[in-house]
Amino acid sequence: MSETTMTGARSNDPTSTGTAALVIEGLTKSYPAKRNLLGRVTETVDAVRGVSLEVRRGETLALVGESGAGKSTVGRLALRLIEPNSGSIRVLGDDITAMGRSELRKVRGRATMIFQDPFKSLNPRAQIKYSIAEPMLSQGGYSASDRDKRVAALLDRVGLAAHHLERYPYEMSGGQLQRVAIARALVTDPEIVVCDEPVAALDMSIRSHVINLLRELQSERNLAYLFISHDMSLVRVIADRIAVMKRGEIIECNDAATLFADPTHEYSRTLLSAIPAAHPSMRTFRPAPAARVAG
Amino acid sequence: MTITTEKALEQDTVLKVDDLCVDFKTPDHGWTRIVDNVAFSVRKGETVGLVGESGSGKTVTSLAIMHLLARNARVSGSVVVNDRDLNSLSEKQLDGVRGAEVAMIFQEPRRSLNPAFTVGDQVAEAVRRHRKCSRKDAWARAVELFDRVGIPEPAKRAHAYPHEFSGGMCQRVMLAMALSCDPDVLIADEPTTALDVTVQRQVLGLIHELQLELGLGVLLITHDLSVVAEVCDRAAVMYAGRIVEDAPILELFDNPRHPYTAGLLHAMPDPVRHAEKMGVIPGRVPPPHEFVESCRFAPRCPYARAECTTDYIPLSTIGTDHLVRCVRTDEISLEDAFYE
Repeated sequence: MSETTMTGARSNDPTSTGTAALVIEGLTKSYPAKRNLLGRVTETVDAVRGVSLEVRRGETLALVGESGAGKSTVGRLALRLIEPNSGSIRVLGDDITAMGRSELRKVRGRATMIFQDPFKSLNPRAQIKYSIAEPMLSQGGYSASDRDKRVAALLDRVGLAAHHLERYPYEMSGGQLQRVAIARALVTDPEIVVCDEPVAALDMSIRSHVINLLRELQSERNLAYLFISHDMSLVRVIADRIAVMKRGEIIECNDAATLFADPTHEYSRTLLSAIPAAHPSMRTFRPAPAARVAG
Repeated sequence: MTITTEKALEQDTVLKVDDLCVDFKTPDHGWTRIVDNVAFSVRKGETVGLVGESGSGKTVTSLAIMHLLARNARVSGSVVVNDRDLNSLSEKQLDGVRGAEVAMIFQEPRRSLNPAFTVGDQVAEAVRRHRKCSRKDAWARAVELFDRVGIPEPAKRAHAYPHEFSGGMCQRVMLAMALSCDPDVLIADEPTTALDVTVQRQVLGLIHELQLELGLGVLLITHDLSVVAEVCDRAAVMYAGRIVEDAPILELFDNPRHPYTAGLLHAMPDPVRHAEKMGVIPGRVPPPHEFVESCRFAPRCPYARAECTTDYIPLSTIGTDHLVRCVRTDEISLEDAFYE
């Protein structure tokens, strides 16, 4: 018991290793909650409060919690898609907290994002080939033939065919589009990808395809994932470490196995015990009726 | 236990659906059959799951039972509630049954409530619609129901508007409304899909409690097999408009006999089996105008043979209480299906 908590404490320390893909320290983001007659903000609410975490190279850190806990806000702050009020962010060793636009753009080639709903995150008026190539255009430094080659290679890698290139998002299914979003996120060879509920909008049988693909790509490219999810049973399967958020704060961060076996925080326990059973023999409300004997 | 279960299985059927077919008139493909020969029954106090992915026809089935489909739908077959076939009733007679004998709750409770009226008003309206009583009595009944579904300070909160309630609280209001006239059947269409896990647990627990207390038969429509594992007594799996397997819950999880069911079960995240890779079902659900007469799962099925794509395959009985729609079910082992 004390042994496992020791390991947990160590893995929780954001400064413990030099191989971090993403280090966030003391990050806070607040939004105006009330304004006075003159429109001045008189009250604010903290969406994220003093969050520190570290994602190491090649690992999956899952950020879990219920809706409104601030998971997505942390994901967006990590790439400075929204600006923090305080705290610092280091991506692949570079402090991006105060970086200017052009420098930040360079960083966003190496640190990318996949969103929950590909129908909303991909441009509906752009062909798939443009959506995948766009990050290379914005990064610059890729020749036209180089771009085509990379798009073709990734398209093949995520399991789509060449004829999909000419299509528009509305012509494709959710699962296919999420593959497009993955290809787009990987086309500039990032080392860390923030995945914000990447399979929550997908059907069950499609979900495992996308998860398998993300895992394969991770081991091929040594990718680090900040994996934001509310699905504890999925997180249990894919995460190396898990950070639990509640009301804007990380209340517990530990190895996945340790967190599931021995959650220290009361809220983590509540969250874990609310996961529905994987098999009727494990359910809690009522015993499963025995099947009638065949014959 | 076994004896009471057996007994319950023989009698007390509160909802019996037979041969239910739903066709939609679509601009591109004419009349298209969305739900094909669906049959199942729900007994008093029992929870039956109707499981499927989007496009399987599970929601259309539930709306057809309630006669809530739009005019471009054609429904045939029978839906018997307490020995009365709803499909033979007039609109007016139906109004007496809907809400009173069969009630329904939906996935997004907030969208099912009227934002312009207080929750108390809305539940009281449901009460007055089916029972002759004064506004005051209806309001009192609403408050009583709020108390029953676990809304704190019910007398005060009845004056609140839906936007002042969380998703879980709104679902409680929906439940209160559904229970307002003591129905025998509750149809719950993805009742917890939009809710957080801890709230999901509370709502499932509440439905279960109410069921024990009132003897409700519940038809639970969901895509989530773990919700099915948690609360259902039996479940029917739908694929592309047809039921492909129907069995008591333990039997379904321990001994799935249709490849699709096995595939769905193998796609549930499992820390041991999926340490490297998750189980996958190749391909996707076909759109309704591509539904074929023979096995609709065959194009995605690793066990498909020529015989699967020729004729209509009926649901056949295995044992006494397990139905499956697969010609090869006796020949195949589904243990390791769907691992690449």
